[in-house]
Amino acid sequence: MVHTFVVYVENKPGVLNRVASLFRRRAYNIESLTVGHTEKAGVSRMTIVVDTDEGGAFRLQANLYKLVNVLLVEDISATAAV
Amino acid sequence: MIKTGAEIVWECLLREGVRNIFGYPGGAILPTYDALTKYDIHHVLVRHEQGATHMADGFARAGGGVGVAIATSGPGATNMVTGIATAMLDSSPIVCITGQVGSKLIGSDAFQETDITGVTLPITKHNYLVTHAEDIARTIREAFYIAQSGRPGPVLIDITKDAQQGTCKFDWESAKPQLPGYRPDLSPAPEDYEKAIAMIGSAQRPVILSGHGVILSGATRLVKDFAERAHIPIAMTLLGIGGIPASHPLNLGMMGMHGEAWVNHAIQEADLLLAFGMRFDDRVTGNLKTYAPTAKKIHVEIDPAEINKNVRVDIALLGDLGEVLQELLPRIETRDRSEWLSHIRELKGDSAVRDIQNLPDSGHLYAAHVINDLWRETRGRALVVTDVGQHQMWEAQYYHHDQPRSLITSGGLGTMGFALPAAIGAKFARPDAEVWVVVGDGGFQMTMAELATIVQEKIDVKIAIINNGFLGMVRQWQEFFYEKRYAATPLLNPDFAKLADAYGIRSFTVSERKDVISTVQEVRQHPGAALIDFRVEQEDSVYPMVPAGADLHAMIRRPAPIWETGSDE
Repeated sequence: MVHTFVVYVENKPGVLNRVASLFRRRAYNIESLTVGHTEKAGVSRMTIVVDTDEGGAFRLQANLYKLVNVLLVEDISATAAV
Repeated sequence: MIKTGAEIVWECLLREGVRNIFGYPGGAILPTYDALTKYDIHHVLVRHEQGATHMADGFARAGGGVGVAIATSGPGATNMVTGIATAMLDSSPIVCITGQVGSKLIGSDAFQETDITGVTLPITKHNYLVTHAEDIARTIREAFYIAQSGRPGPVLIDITKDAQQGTCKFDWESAKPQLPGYRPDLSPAPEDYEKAIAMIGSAQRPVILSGHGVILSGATRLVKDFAERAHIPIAMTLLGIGGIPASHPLNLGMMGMHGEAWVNHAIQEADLLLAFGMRFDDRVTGNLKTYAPTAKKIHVEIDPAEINKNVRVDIALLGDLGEVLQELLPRIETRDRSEWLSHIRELKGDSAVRDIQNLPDSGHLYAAHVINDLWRETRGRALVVTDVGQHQMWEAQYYHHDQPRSLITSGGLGTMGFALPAAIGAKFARPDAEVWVVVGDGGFQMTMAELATIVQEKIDVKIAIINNGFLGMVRQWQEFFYEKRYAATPLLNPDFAKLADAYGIRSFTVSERKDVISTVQEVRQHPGAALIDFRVEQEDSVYPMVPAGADLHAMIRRPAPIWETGSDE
């Protein structure tokens, strides 16, 4: 199943690499990824789409939280689009 | 107070309680080394940066707090990689500081430039590249906090040469950690406690799986109280050894690939597994499809990413093991489980009698004899540091540890060459402990350069080489699974006693069983480092053994003793 994660991170050098590296390290294939500023200074928002099962999505979220620069992770797969 | 970045490094380390540091100087870290002369921190000069990381790791595991290693840029930093990965896999709190080329040169392939934060990204809990003196204090404080909180792990700080040379105002108080995304403190939901208590109460055949987390959390006493109160037997992982005294009647011993048969059978027959600070590694579960098929599972774990990773669990209690057990303990009912316990005693049966340890002296010197004699002579009170391979498993089986942090070994990564440097670090953490290195002839030669460090630091570490002339565990796999085709496992070794002599280390060679005890006694009385080269059986194997990926109950058992078969093979 396709999962869409919204990941709020500290806007610091190398953070995108840490997040992308985690997907590679745990053998997830990224379908799409976008990064941009948020309305809050110093916080970036990543939207990452990945094809995985429920267990995989749960572990991915847990592993994202282990990254020190990650502030918040939301799995919005089940949320209706605007 | 205006200080250089280099001075700030030492000011901060002192404030973090660091008194010993393990390292090797070089160009990009020279400003920091130059400033060291002004500070009361003891620097241990290693012979290879890998040794520095294992020493920091051994220091931390022996209970010394966060271990610190320091090295220069480029090759100095890359030599640390194996030690960092070792600490990562075994959740050991270390901080590694590396010099980096000047910030203006980064990305230019300058002399001794390596992207060490990139290289160590997947093998550190977190890492930093610091390019301004102003950022050093806060970074070091964050690194120490991250390394030892939550699930511990290694943190690397790469500091450019100009950041070390630059000056700024040093203010420890205002350099507080700023980690908005880091939340190591977790606690389970109240309803999960209720469910767990009910599940434990109704279990007929429960087993506690006691892991490294028991020791890291300082929860050894609580686990023992819990087991005694509920009458639940305990199986240990390799890194869990020492968490519960080996002599405790509820302690079954080590589980997994080289665990005793009754331990693995108990797990396979259990109706409830209580996983305390362990992560269901493939070396303890065997085939996941047939693992503990009738058991419900409760996982008490500090790292949410470990939940349902290998084994699906029924209840996860996320948090510090000690805190969770403090909550659970008074609410657990005392229950009679004598039927289950006596069933496990039956499983144990005559296994102890079949043990190699009971063989009469047939002129052969078995590693198991050596380790069991070492246990008896040291009354189980030594701090033993093992390497990786057959001797490591024999040590786990035949040296009975009653104290936490009395066995230090590389479990997750299985790093050969770990033992000798880790033992040096352990000795710095616990100078009064009797430290023994138990190491194979293969692994010893990977880091034996650190013999010089032992001599230069004048420290008292005893070394027992279990020398079988093979890379023994690989040879065993070749014997069992590759029809004895011994590709690249026979070793042509130097005379280890002569080698030790060259360093001025007292040395002995033992090849007969009758000489083991007297030599160990002599070495224990010798006031300084000593080495014994034990020339043991060349083609002995570790039993029982669950082949990789096989069912946990499908063990290759110990062959019958010689007096039963009438043969000497």
